[in-house]
Amino acid sequence: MGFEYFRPGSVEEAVSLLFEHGPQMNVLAGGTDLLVKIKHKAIHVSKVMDITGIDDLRILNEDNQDLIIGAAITQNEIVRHPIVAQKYTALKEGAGQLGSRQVRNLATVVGNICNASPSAETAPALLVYEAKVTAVSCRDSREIAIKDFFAGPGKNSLAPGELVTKLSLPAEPARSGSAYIKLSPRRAMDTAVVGVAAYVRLDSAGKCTICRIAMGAVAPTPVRAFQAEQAVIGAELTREVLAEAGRIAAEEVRPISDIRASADYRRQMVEVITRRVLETAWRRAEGSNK
Amino acid sequence: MGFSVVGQNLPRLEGKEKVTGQAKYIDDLNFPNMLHGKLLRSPYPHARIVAIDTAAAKALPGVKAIITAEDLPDRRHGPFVQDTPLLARGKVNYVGEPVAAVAAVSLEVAERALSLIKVNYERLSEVLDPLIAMESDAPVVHENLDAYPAVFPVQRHGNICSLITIEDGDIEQGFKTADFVFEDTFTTPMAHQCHLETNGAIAAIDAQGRVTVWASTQSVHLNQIRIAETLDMPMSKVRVIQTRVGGGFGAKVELTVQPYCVALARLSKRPVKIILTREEELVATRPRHSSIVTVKTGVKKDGTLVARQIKLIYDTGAYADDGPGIVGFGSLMANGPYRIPNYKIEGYCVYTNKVATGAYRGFGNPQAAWACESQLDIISRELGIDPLEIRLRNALDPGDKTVGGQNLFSVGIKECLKAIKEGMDWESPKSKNRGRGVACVHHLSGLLASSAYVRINQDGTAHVAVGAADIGQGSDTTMAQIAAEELGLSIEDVAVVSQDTDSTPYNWATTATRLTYMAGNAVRRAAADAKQQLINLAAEVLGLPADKLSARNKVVVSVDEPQKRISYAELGVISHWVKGGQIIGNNSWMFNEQPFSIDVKVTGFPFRVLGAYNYGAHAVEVEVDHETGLVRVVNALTAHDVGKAINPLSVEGQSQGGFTQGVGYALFEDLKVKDGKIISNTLLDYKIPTAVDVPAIKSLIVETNEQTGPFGAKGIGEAPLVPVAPAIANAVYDAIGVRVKDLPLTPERILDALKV
Amino acid sequence: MKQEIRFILNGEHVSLNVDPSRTLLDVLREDLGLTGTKKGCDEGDCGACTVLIAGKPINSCLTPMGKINGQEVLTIEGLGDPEQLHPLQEAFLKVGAVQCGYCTPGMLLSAKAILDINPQPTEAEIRDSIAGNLCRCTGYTKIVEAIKYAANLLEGRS
Repeated sequence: MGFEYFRPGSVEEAVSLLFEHGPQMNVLAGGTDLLVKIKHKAIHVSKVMDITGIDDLRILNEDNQDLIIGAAITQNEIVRHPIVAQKYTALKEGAGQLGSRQVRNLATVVGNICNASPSAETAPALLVYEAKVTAVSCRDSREIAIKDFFAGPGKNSLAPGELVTKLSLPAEPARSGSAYIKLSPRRAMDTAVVGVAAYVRLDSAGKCTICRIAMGAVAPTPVRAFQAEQAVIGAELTREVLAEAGRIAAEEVRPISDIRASADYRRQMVEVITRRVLETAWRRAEGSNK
Repeated sequence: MGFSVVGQNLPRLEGKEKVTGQAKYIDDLNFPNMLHGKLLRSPYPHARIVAIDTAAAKALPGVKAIITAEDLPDRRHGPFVQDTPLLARGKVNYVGEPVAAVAAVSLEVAERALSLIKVNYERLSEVLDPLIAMESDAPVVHENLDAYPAVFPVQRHGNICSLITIEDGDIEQGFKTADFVFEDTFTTPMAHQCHLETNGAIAAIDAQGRVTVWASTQSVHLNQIRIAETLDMPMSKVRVIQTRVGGGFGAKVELTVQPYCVALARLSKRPVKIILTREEELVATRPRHSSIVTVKTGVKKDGTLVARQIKLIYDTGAYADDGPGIVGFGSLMANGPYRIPNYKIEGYCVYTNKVATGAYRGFGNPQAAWACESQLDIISRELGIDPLEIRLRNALDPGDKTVGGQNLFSVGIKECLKAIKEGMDWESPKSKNRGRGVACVHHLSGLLASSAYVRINQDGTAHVAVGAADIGQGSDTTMAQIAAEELGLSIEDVAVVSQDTDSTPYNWATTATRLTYMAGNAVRRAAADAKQQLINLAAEVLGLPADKLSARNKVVVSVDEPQKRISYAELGVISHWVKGGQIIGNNSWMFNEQPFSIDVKVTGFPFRVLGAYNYGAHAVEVEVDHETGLVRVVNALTAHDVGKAINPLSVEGQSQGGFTQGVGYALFEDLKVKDGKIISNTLLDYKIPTAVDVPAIKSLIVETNEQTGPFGAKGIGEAPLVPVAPAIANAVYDAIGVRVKDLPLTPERILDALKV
Repeated sequence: MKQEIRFILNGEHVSLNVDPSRTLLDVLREDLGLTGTKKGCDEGDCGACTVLIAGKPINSCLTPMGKINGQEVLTIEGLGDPEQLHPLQEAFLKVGAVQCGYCTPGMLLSAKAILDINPQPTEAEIRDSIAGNLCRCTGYTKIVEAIKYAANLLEGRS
């Protein structure tokens, strides 16, 4: 493919390479998106920096009860991690349905969101957990709320010279639950026609205190369904509440027609999948004693 | 009859090299000094070529040869209609049509050279829809249609590449006697073979000017003929060798990249390799025809079929390729394995400015079966007859005549239906959103010629040479089993000669479900010839009459005095050193039943001989999500009448593999075209089933002992794909009560149908 | 642009001077003559190029050589040889799980990866573990049977 290959050993080295080479330098983590683009000649790339050799980016643990996911952590590492399985189910379900097993052993969660595909499998989950993205440059470091991270199809909101080093997911208290459902005609190795994640936190009486819903492949970026969430907060689990949330979510989205599905179908599926994923998240919240 | 080798589940002869990674496919071969070739392809569906400027590309260091149509003989080729130039001449007719070919020292240089070739096009209005193409004022794809030679009595005009009609009985009277008449139209999309190994070839020229081509191919013999024809070479100067083939399913029968390799190698005087990329494979090779099929069926109250009229319109794209054959074959198969006394079938093969389509497992039958097997389900529901029962009532019996009037010997369709009825527990209760569907198939094993020879080595072992190209289906093992059985040898004693036009005798191709039946017949007969020669030699040596000797277990032995015997090894030595020379048995074989009886009206039919019919029935159970429209196949059962299973393991493998391709065809395979360009250009967008998209498939074998087949065998290859899509659609109807008449059964289509 | 890349390939130390932007697949096939690893799509959609890195299946067509430094790579050539087949290879032959053979090397390595961590997988787990390996010939039924058969062979031997 003929590009210059850099493999920094530290974050400092990585950000100084980014500074030095400017926009010519492309960050490669798993490579499963970047290399396909290069092979398809969708982009021409002269310099690539592989960040998976940086030990600091290989963190995956709980820090002050927040879950920290380093930029070199792969989808399958997420899927197999016991804390993720226990507390961040939607993320496990999103990561577990991305590409093939082979791709999941290469692709990273951070890479998935930096690539900013509207259908990114892990994005809805990170949106409902209100993850924070840490971006580091030569000069400083900042945190970006995940909802502000996506800027358009294939576009993120990083400034030139910035490198995402990690994601932080807030600690999950008891009586909370989450889920992600991906809809695709093929049951493996497919792109989401619609993907929806939901997060629900309940009070002791079983009323919803926090509800977050996020969707993929229905707008130029992965998006929250803020209005649908409002219909759920304060409510108890009923068929009507779920149906109403689905209906509102379907009104909030701006899907397109493409090779995979029509806009109409996507909109209908947002309604169905939102209802289903919300119910699953709710049941999990009821059953959780974390 | 007891067999010792036939009927055994023997592992593949070449299995070890495949599981250890040692098998050599085309891209695993390299030669010193070898160049890499690439094709420049048309970006437009229809355009006049004003000028091609290759000067800048030729000047690029590392470029060793560039060819355009100007550098090739001015002739068109094609298996049925000679309409296809190797490189576009005067105009391009589809997006992806080869316009120029380059050979360079590396792929990168070759690709850069392509970008330096300047082609000046003048856009022409294109026709992309076959129905529009059939109108008199449509843009014309081939202005000189009448000038193209055809190998059969072709009927054509405008954009109609060929029209086939088959008519028997009295169709008007038939419809009059019917209690009900049904008419429905069904459609199918283009579907790609998706063999996992893309097409490729290498050509090299020796000092005598003789060309050797290594190719991933389904027929070294067809390749040899076509290369000779298209490049004006005598066949004696063309040698084609088959490498291991990573699947073909019809896509590797006719030429793909071979002639470009040869032309570039002749020009550069260096070996040239071309391997297609997956994208080229998907956008510019020959997928299955899309179709529009209208079926009108007259039926009695009790479900008896009395009349049928079918109009098939298959979109062949820019060139005929196998189109007339496919439409002819689809027309012949369209009635299915049923008795229908009055019928009229019209098959239209229509040109459009899309990629040329061609042979893919089923050869026109899947489109016809989709329509007719779906409609039979509609009829059965309407009449209140069980869909499996209505099939049993109309199914053919041995001694019946099929469409056209050919006599049928072995007919196992009823046994297949009964086997799946029992195996699926057809009438048992179903859970919510689940449904069961059934569909049947008949298909030919046969067409054209096959030949083989068997030589007995000095040590009594044997070499079998037959032009049967194993493309993964296991024919080498099957041929060895047939030869070993006939000769009285064990499988280890038989070598199957690798495909090479210098050493394997002519066989048309690995296609038409024909190897076990056609090549198998040639092998069995050649082996029998060799065995008779062994016996005759033994008779001389032992001083006994030949008819008192039998040959088995590597020994020729006296029937009456078993102590009088002589081993094959001894006979081998005698024949090589003392008397007669090496024993070589041979046979050339064609099916010789008349395809049509005298009272059948047939026009424009592309084949002179047919073959033996094989039969099958599938039952599936699906689960439908009525809110998303997603369909999951949860239970699958296939039953096929193969005459005799030479290797049951291989028959099951073909059944399960064909079924799974059918699941893809039913649920998501769709080569989508936008503005004349195929946009499903990756295996992510052209989806084929993964291991989680299909259940464990249970495959039953029905044996009916076909009297014209080797050891009673017919064939299996194509049939298992054919009934899958209608079986699934019928099961979807059973589950949620909606009928979708267009493939694939996308979730969206199912939901739309639910809304109506 | 070339760099020295050291890694362990099929149990042996290898040191190569290669362009690190080239894929592992191309280097295996073109430089090392290990053509058992197949190229079916060259973009991560078919699984024919599957090899194991540190025991995990990956697409070698999407893996630049720069990532291979210090890694342990297993290709089909390291799984077993004709005289000493791996139980999975034996099982694939016996059960009839091999047709054209093009998906077979990648399929075998995906199967090895699952059996290494889950010696007695369920049918669903087996199907899930090979869902990234397309096969167009077999319909997967016999491949799944072969992996079950191999699991039993391996258990019997250990």
